Amino acid sequence: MKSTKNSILGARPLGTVSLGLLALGLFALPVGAWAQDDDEKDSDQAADTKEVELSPFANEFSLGLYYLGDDSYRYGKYSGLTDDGIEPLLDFRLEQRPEWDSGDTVRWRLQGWRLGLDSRRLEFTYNDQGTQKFGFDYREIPNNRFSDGQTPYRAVNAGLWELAPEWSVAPGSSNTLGFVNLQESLVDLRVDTKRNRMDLDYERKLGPNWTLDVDFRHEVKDGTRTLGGIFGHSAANPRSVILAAPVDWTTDIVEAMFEYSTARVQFGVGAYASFFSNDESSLTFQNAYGYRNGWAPGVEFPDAYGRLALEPDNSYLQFKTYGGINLNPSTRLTADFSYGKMEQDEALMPWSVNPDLAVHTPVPLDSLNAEVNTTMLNLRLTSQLARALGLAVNYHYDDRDNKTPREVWPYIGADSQDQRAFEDGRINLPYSFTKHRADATMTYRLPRAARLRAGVEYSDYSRDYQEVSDSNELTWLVGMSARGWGSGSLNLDLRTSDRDVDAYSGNAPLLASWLPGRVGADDYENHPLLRKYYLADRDRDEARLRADFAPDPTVNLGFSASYAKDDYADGYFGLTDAKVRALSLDAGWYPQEHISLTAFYTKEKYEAAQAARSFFNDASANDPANDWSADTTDKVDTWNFALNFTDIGKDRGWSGVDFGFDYTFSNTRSDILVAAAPSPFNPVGPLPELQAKLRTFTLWGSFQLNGHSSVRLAAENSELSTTDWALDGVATDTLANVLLLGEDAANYDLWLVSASWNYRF
Amino acid sequence: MKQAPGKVIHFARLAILLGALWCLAGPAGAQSEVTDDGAEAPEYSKGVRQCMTCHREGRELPAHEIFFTTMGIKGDPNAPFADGNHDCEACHGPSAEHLRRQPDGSRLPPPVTFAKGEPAEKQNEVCMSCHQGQQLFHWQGSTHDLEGNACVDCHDVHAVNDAVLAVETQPAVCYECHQEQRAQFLRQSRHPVQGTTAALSHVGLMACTDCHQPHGGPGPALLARNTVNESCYECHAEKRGPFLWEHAPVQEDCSNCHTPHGSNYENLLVGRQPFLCQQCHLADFHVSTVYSGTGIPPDGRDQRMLGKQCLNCHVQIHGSNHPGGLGQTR
Repeated sequence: MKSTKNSILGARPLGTVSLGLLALGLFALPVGAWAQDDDEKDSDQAADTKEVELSPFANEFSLGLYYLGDDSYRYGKYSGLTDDGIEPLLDFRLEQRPEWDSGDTVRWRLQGWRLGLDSRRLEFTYNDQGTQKFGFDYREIPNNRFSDGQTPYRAVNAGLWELAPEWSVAPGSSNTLGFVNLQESLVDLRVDTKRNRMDLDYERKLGPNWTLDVDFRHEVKDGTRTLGGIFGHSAANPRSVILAAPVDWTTDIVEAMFEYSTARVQFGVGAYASFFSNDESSLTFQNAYGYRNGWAPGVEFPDAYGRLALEPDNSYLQFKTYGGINLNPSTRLTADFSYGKMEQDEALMPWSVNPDLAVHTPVPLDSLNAEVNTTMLNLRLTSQLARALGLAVNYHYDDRDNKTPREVWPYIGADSQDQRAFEDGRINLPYSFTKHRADATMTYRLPRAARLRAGVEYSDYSRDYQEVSDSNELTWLVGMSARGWGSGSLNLDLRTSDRDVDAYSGNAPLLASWLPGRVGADDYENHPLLRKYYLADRDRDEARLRADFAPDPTVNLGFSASYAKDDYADGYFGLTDAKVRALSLDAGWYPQEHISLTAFYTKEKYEAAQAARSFFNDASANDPANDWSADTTDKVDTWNFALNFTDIGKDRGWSGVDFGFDYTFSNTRSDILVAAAPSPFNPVGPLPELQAKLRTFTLWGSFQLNGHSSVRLAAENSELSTTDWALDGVATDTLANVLLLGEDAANYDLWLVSASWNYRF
Repeated sequence: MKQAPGKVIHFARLAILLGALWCLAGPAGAQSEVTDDGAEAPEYSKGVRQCMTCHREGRELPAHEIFFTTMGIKGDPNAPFADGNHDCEACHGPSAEHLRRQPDGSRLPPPVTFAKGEPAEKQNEVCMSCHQGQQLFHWQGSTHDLEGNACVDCHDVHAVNDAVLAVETQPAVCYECHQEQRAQFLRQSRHPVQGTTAALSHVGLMACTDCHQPHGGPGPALLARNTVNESCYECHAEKRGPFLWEHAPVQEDCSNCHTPHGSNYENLLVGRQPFLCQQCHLADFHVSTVYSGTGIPPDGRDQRMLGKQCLNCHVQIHGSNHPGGLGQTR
């Protein structure tokens, strides 16, 4: 029998259960040396070390039950606990650590979390220290969207959805009002996805300085997501149905690096490969609508089908290398370089799934043969110029060179119209860009672990086929840090930047996407005064402060504040300015060794202002009476209090008793204020506030039964209350031209209770 | 005039030569710090057994869990506790003097301590004397380095379970400085990173290091990958394409429309449709139309305001590979 007392220098006992699990044969690695004669070692060590109780235990099981008081798909969004009733609770950890002075270097750990739920995770690590490491990680990651949707569609197979047999459309109707059997046709629908991910990592020392590191990931994501299927393409005649599109995706990633490392020189070379495959290349759906003017004959229900392309298989291969050298004790030069190739060559679909539509020009390519080459280079020189003065200089190059062929695509408008004339076809725009960035930062070290820093950064950005072909940005920054001012620390950063655009040609993408001569040099699609925010001239100011203070060993206080403001040029449409302000306070009080009270409060405010003009011809485009604006303000308050008592009975000779509570409240409100000049053609009304309140209260206690066993009880009350004008009160047929799923904004208020028996050994 | 290029080349060569000499020799300021006053080298103690007489469990500064960490493995010749590496003093320096009481009864600290007031460079130098290679390749000159952070600000090297290395406990370490991100992960639309609370509804299935490399990485914002998009494609490879009909801001930077940690809006969007879309799309008719409360029940029923809003029709917003997918409609 093993003692619960052990030398602090002793090894962890390895239970028979853990050996049994290992015997599952997960990994054929040498394990024979793991078993240790602990008692013998203890007696050896006891002569020259004091005995103390081992803490913490290495091996642990938690067995129990969850009880959820109500159904809520959204509550279990990531945990997977969605249905009322009982679910198993199972966590465990098995571990073997080598006895520190035995000469043994092998340690392993097998750990599982939430094994009874759909968010289960299993991890195994094996480390023959100084020689090799192996890691296995399996995770299931659910993502529940909603379970209260309804649809008249039935899946014939994952990629083909047809209407219910009783579906009918009123004669002459071309919108949802004509869906005479809609209610009878609806079936309940859940929309969710789940990832099953496995990671394998292996690292091997190949010599004193050489290491091989190989990582592999295999992930399967399946389930459904919402996706619209449309017929019609002009502004007036599209009709859409929201579908539960299949998600059947697999991603494999392999990365291997050879590394050489000494105190002076480091060097690595390797490769990264990522492969994505989609088992469903398309989604085909039956048209639910009656004939609509502008559609070709025969496009309507019941004979017509539509088809949209789902994400194609793709791959990304990347060669990577890096090197660094310490030129002298205070100067280091590093470089890392990677060159990659993204490829996508999935067979292209025909213009339409509808064979009755007239086609004069075949699809120009069997497959796109899309290719993007990426190049990235980082150079960095860091140097301690003097005792207190440091310098860091960086150069960064990032290039996306899109080699995808450009063709004329005389398309068919969403399976509903005959093919456009060739000269009305559009040309695809394979976007490329190149970024250069150089920066230098000086640091000056002050006494008491404080330092000042100042820097400048210049970046240049060039793009193809976009409104802006060249822009640059100059940034200045100053900051200071202090870690040793008594019991406080401080970090402050200030940045200001100015982005300049050489020229903004609003119709450049339009001209590039039409055959020459088909659009005039002054024609435009977006309003000529529009400036897209990610391309426009911009002034940005940022400030960030973090301060910590511990006036007493039992108290710590923290304060954070940040401010960011983007200011775009006046007199244009689009985003005109954006501002983010955040303030955080946090505190911890530890009046006794086993008592802690922590709290934080964060207040954030996001503001964005945009300007626009409604128009439908040149005259209206030039009429300021059509101007409108939208100011969005998001306010967020987040609170948390937590009180924990640990081992409170120990001083009184009880078995350990832990308990605590935690209260978290996140309150978000979004107001969008839309304003426009009074007009019968552009009526404007107030929008209700968007709200999301998430409140969670947790109470828990753990009671030690004996040296190995304890019981844990926990109760969690969680409430989510959201309002969303896009969903609230919106039924499947609320819209005339879109058949929706009718789901509500997420709301729940429920209790979760759990009880578990924990055994540690 | 013809001599000018020659002069430029000459000066360039001279500059390179001087630069190389400076790099190889080191700056004078740095050299002048190194002095040898002939003092007797500090002595090492008898090793960890002596340290543990005071630094064991239950004492003020316990360090007993070090035996269960990779540091405390005698069998690894590179570990501090291997023979000849001086155990605790491998990091804390020769500490025989620390064991002797001063006349006033106090003890001198070891030569190297990792207290808050000590310069981060001095502390980190100890760690980096062993920890080199890819993980720390970008450390010097990285954001966390320039801010003066020490390794021990995040790592608890004496702990059997260093909190910052585990998915479930790592975020709490990061939140000590990154308060806003903590609040963002408590919103309804978020990546599944553990919030502060232990409630199951806030369960953490990801760690901060699934995207970030806190020691410095090749990308912006301490990302482990070269770019924002490369980071996102790790888990969202379906959005990589390349597509026939690309959406320019998507291919350029996912954060043009999404915020990574948590948002007021579904799908981690930075704003609400249709207004977010209209910040970049302002064409005639429905694209530039003003939308407001008149477009929602009971006053109205506008298809750009309800359901999936703009995405009711522009369904493949990240890119379409359909020959007729212009406008991301198919």
